[in-house]
Amino acid sequence: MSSKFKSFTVPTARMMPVIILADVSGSMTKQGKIAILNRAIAAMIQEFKDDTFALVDIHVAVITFGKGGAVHHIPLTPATKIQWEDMKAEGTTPMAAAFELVKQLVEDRDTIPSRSYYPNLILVSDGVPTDDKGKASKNWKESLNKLLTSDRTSKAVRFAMGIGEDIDRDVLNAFVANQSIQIPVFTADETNIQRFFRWVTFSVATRSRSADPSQLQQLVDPNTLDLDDIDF
Amino acid sequence: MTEISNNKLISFGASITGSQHKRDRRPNEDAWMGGQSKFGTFVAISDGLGSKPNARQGAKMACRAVKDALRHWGNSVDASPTLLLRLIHILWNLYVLPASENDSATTCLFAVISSEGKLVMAQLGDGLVAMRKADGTLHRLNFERTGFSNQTTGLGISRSTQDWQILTLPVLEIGDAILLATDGIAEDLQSDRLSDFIDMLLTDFAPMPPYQRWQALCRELREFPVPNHLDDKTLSVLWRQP
Repeated sequence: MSSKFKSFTVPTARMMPVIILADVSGSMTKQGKIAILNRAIAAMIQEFKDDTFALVDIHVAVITFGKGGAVHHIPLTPATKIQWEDMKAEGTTPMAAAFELVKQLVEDRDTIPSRSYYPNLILVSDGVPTDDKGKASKNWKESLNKLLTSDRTSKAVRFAMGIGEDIDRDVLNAFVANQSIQIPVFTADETNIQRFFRWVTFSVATRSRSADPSQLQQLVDPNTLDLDDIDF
Repeated sequence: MTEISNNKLISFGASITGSQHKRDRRPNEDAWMGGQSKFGTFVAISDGLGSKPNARQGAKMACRAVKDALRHWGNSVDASPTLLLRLIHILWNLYVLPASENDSATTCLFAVISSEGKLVMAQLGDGLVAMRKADGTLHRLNFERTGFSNQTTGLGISRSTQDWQILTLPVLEIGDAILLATDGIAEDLQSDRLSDFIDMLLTDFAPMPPYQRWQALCRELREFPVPNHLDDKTLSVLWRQP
């Protein structure tokens, strides 16, 4: 017998957003970092595409910050429909603008309805945040504070990776602070950027297959976990 | 005020265990109750918060607390709705003992038509409380969720009656109906089709014999047409039939 409820219900599964904030400043061209980051994000999206066990629709957005400020490199899109295009690295590190853009996105109830599971925010940077003119700046503090005190964005799960020796640990630590479970900052060099994304993919995939995707389990420290042998 | 004959008020509902709890071999952590007594006719539903160990009992006790609070409240002349809510909190706190309030946290939604015909609809936590007027217009309690799925408040979390959404009307008019639904249903309903959804429940389900209606509703909820639906699901209806 056909469902009498069908014409009154939403025809899609609930969404779990994964939003990447990617530093594409000029320094990301050194040691091939941007190329490795491109491959790592593309691999993560492919893992989501291939995951036949997921009980939620994983949607991915990529916000880049570099030359020209913060922009949507990929708007929030079902992972299954994304055709990855490589990011290009150039310019400064306007991280504050990226925080403002992601807050706008998460607070938009039309784009991310309240029936969604909470978003995952992933910050990747290799340097010190700058202002519009390229000078090192603490202007990220105000933007991050707004993000962390907003109605919805404050409830997102937040991951962070710092690449190389020139990172600003204060901003990365502040980004992941005060969550329901402790999520450490992942520190990387160009050889283990992919490792971080495998860890994030593992966390998202585990919850997307879980009976209650809103339950965040304690995560193993990615700096010590051997992820090379994990199949998702 | 004109009294409404009890046989002109119909209440029904159903609740099923979601696939998430079936897989985990956990019981249904939603509950519902409906009934008539001297104070009037009511329906109540509740959704025990998933991560809490005593959620099932908390949800069941929420419905019982509503029923018992209405009995006391309905005996008092001119008692305010706030007093009713305070009674619900107190009774629920007693009923969940020896478990802690926090371990038993649950949403609580109800509607009651007093024997004098007065309507009270109230909501604490997520879910849906909506009234469809006989002409098709819809009024819903505006319990705005600030976060995402499965993040809410309820008995055992809230400490204030101000956290409730409440609506009182002097009378429920002929043909008006109220729908209560837990978020396993409410989140997946198209908001612009809500009035039609209630109308369908009144047209297709309300006329059935009670047991057959309960079976039919349970079947609809088990076969809920949303991909990968996981949550327990509960709805109930209170209707002043023509």
